[in-house]
Amino acid sequence: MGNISPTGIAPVLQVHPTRRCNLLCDHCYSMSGPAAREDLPTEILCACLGDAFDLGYRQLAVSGGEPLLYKQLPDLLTRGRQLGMLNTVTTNGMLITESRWDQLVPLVDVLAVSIDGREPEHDRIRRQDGAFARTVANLQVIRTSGVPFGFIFTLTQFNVDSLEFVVRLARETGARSVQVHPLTLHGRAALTMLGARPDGIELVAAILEAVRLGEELGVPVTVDALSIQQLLAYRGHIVPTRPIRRLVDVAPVLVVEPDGSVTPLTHEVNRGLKLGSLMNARLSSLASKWLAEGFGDRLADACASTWAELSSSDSMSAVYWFDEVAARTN
Amino acid sequence: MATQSSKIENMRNLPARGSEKLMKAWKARTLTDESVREIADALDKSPAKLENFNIVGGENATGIEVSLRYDGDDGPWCGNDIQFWLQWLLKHGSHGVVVTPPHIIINGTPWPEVITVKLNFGQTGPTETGGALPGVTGGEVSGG
Repeated sequence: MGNISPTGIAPVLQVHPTRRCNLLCDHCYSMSGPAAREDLPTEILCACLGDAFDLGYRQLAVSGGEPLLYKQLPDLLTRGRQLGMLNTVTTNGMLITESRWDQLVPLVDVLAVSIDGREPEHDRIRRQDGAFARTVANLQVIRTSGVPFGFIFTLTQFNVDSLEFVVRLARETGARSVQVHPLTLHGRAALTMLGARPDGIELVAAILEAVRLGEELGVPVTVDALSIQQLLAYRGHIVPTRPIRRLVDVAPVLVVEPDGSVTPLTHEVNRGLKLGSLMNARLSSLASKWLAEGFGDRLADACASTWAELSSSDSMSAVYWFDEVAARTN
Repeated sequence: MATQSSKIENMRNLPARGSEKLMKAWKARTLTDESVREIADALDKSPAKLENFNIVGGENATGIEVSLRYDGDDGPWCGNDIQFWLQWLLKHGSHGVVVTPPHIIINGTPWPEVITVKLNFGQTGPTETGGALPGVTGGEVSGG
């Protein structure tokens, strides 16, 4: 697959440097919140970035927790910038004051702001009255700075009808795109949002809405899901060929969690397939050992069996690929 | 252990799927045969010339735009057509749209020679849910 992932973008190092957050969202894929104190030391992360770049990762995606509460965020982004990586940050947008944002402006290539529907829906899922209003007000600070920004919308079983509102908001506030990310039942979401993970029908509805709204409103809308047609047509892009010799070939997304653990593809992949912890070894060592011990081939097998199962299913209409693979690693 | 009736009750309490709400909204915006026929009948009765007629939404039409031209003595009839437009809205609802008032152009004073009236039935533009946003006007974000 070279240096291009199934989504057509450069392989992504997804870093969650902290579990600190000003919110306690229902759909949080980690257990982040105001009481959480887990932070990853910057030195470890900066070393990880260098190793990741050498391994072929070209995009640094910082999330959290709320990344703006990670005090060393400028240092981390500076390292990414030195390496020539594309720096992206995902935030709830509530803490973007001018003074805080000014120091990040030269370091951020793209900012993703989470918007989860109309004001009552957004505030409900974030368990915070006024969250929507504060985030929307802060968009002015981002827009004035000239840093490109987009929205991330978490798709559940119940909210595809809110996508139009979010895309219109994007158009009216200058957001350049909307990314629709299906809810994963991990972290707090596994406790609070059972039954809310979108099924194939909702994913198809989201794909169709994305096309319609994109054409009608001129805002690019992408859905992190594959239709059956895409699945069948792009096997070569999503199922890596064995033997796996490079980490990026089987893990176009690599997740670094606040405790230092490194997971291929998504949080939900079986713990047995994790590369290990940055607290114990550098990423370069973890990757070499992981490949040498055949874990890359095991993950490739999981991709192949996932593809085989899904492509022969009569009922399947669309899927969140990484989630499906992760489910078959358990 | 859950009984059959409690299971049914739980199913009833489940929120609706997003796609179901989406479909419902689309159906609510689709014009019925009856509502379209009423527009056609009213246009037949009117002495106005039909300058433009546009169906929005194709096969599943959600709205109709018409532009009517009244020449000379036919001018006062435009009030009847605007009254019909209002009655149509009252009968069939606003179809979830922001109702735009008729666009009227009068050519000739003090005695109008030509009057042009543009009327929108149903959804021909943005929906209420996707229209103006709190704190956002004219592309600017208010607040700080």
